[in-house]
Amino acid sequence: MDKIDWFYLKRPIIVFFAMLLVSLALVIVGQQYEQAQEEEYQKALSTLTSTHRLYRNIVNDIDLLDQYRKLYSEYRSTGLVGEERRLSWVESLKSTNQVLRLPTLTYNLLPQETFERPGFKAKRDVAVLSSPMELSIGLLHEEDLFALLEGLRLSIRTLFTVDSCEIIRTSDIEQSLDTKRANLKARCTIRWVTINAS
Amino acid sequence: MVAQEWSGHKLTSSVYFEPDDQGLDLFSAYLRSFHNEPVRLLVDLIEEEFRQIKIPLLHGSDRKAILTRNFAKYFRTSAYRFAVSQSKEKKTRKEEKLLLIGLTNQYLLEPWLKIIDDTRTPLSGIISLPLLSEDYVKELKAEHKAIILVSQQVPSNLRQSVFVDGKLVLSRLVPIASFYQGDYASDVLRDIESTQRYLISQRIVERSESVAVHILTNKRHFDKLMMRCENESYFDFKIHEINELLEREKIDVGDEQDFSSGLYCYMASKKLSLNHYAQPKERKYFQHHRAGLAITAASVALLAIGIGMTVTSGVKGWLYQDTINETTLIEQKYKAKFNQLSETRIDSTTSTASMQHLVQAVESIEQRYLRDPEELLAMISNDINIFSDIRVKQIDWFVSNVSDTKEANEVTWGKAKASRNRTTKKQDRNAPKPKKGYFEIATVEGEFLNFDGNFRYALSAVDDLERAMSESGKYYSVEITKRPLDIEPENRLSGDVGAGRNQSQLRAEVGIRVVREILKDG
Repeated sequence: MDKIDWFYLKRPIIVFFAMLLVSLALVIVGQQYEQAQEEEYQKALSTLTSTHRLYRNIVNDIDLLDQYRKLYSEYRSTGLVGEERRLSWVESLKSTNQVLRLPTLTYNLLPQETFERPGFKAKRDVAVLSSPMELSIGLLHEEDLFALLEGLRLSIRTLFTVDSCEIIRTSDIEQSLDTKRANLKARCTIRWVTINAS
Repeated sequence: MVAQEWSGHKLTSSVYFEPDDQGLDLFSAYLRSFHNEPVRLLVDLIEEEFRQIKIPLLHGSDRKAILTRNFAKYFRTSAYRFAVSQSKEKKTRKEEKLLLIGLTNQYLLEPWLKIIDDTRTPLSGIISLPLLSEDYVKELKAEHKAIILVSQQVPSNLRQSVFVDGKLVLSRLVPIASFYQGDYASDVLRDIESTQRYLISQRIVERSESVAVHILTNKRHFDKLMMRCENESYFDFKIHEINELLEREKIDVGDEQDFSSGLYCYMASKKLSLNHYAQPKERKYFQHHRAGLAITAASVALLAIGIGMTVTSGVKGWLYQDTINETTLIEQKYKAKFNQLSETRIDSTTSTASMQHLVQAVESIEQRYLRDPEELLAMISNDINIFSDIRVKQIDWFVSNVSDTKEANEVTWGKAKASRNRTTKKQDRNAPKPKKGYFEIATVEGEFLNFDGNFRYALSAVDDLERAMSESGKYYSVEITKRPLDIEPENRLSGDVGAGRNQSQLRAEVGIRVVREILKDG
């Protein structure tokens, strides 16, 4: 074939390149518009997500608050939450014994320490503490011990647990119980629980 | 030279150019006025020859070489030649029948082709009119094997083309002087008879064979030809009036036609790609024209793609905008609700999460870790009460994180450690292994009431007590720590069985260690 006559093809080639430029311009403008709109959309979506998260958190917060606020207030008022109330504990012990009238009841409160039990783990923002109290009790009957513990539980609405109790019969087993003096000697360690929230 | 411009079925213009300088100049000006519209050259010349040959059935370069040899043999001086394959015998002789056509005087076309080239007019092809008429013969659907098609494109010449089995065999252009005056019909018949004689002499048709003759004529000669042909019995005449034919074919030529050129030009214009004689250099601008069309089509496609993509982007952008508006609206609603809830929420120094954790901690302690000895001691008391002569002297109860802790003061909260250096007694082999966990342990010491020295009974009672407690399933482990009489073989046993022994000094003491596991569900 002879040489190509570019002059002959001038018009379609010019049209081709013009169309190419126009198409490119159109595509670029279109893409930029789409990209800008997409960025705007992502921004709007991100704002919506964050606002929704805030809303969801506050709704959850309110739900939880409603659920826990009453109990929390109750725990604060009873002294379970906050600074430990040693005086209240002693007063409870005293008031309980005013009813039971145990011959001997001595106490010894030890320094506060962390409450530890197998399998028990509080969340990081909660500190569970406990103060051991050694009790030395003279009992007429073994039921007095349980009555004392129950009396304590009823007189003060806070938490305590018994770590140990040693009950020794002071009289001979063949002798019947004396109603005027202690027949049993008990040494118990109870642990008063207090909880602090950060 | 007649230049016809066709638009679909309509002949829009027909211009005649004389083959002189003035005619050539006018032709040049005429072509320039078309701005590179493609043209086709339909040739109807006396100087066109037809040769039927047979060649071996070959392909590729071998066939090409044979064709070149035959072209050189029959059309040595002409560049305008063409070969049409008419039939192939593949089974017995394996040969191909070809029709070679060629222009014996190529210089007739040169001035016209030069103008076409000078004006950059795209020439799609140079078409042989007799070969083109093959298509028309197919439409006739004649029953005869041999057909003679007679037509006239100019007043001075009569074209006779012979077809056998629908294939062009030969064509003759003979001068005729009686178109306007004289016995035209007799002249035509004489020429047809001459052609028939030639066919018989060449053994193309048999003498006895009837030949169909189709004559394309004008209104002027139609009746005369009809009358004249009725008297002839050698041929099966069919005379077609050219204007009726054009009308039947819905070809609009405007004025009444005396010649068949309009029909053939129309047929030539309808073919998408048809070329018999044009050389590649003569079709150069046609190829350029096609390339230009392709580039234009590509441009349109490019623009369409560009517009399509832009529209797609626009629609996507519009949809994004729509979604943005909706998203913003939803976001504003959430914000308003958030603000409303924030205002109504009671402020607290302790966070809700801390409150939650604190309450959960309290619940956990209440469920599992608040212990006192009452429950375990009641259980032990119930078991011992079965043996009414055993009295409890001492109880040591405590909670521990290991099952084998012996005393309360051994308990170390924090990381539990099971003791390793304990001596294991024979009877403890069936006892559970030390375990970490949360346990209530009680060591109970008692004594048989009013013991009379019957150690056999006491030992049996202790064994029964141990068995009863173990089998009750209430305890993790039950262990007798002290028996009324230590009769183990590895231990030392001493006592007083003398007659003068003090009966009141006899004691049968018993020690039991009970472990109860506090499970997670309390």
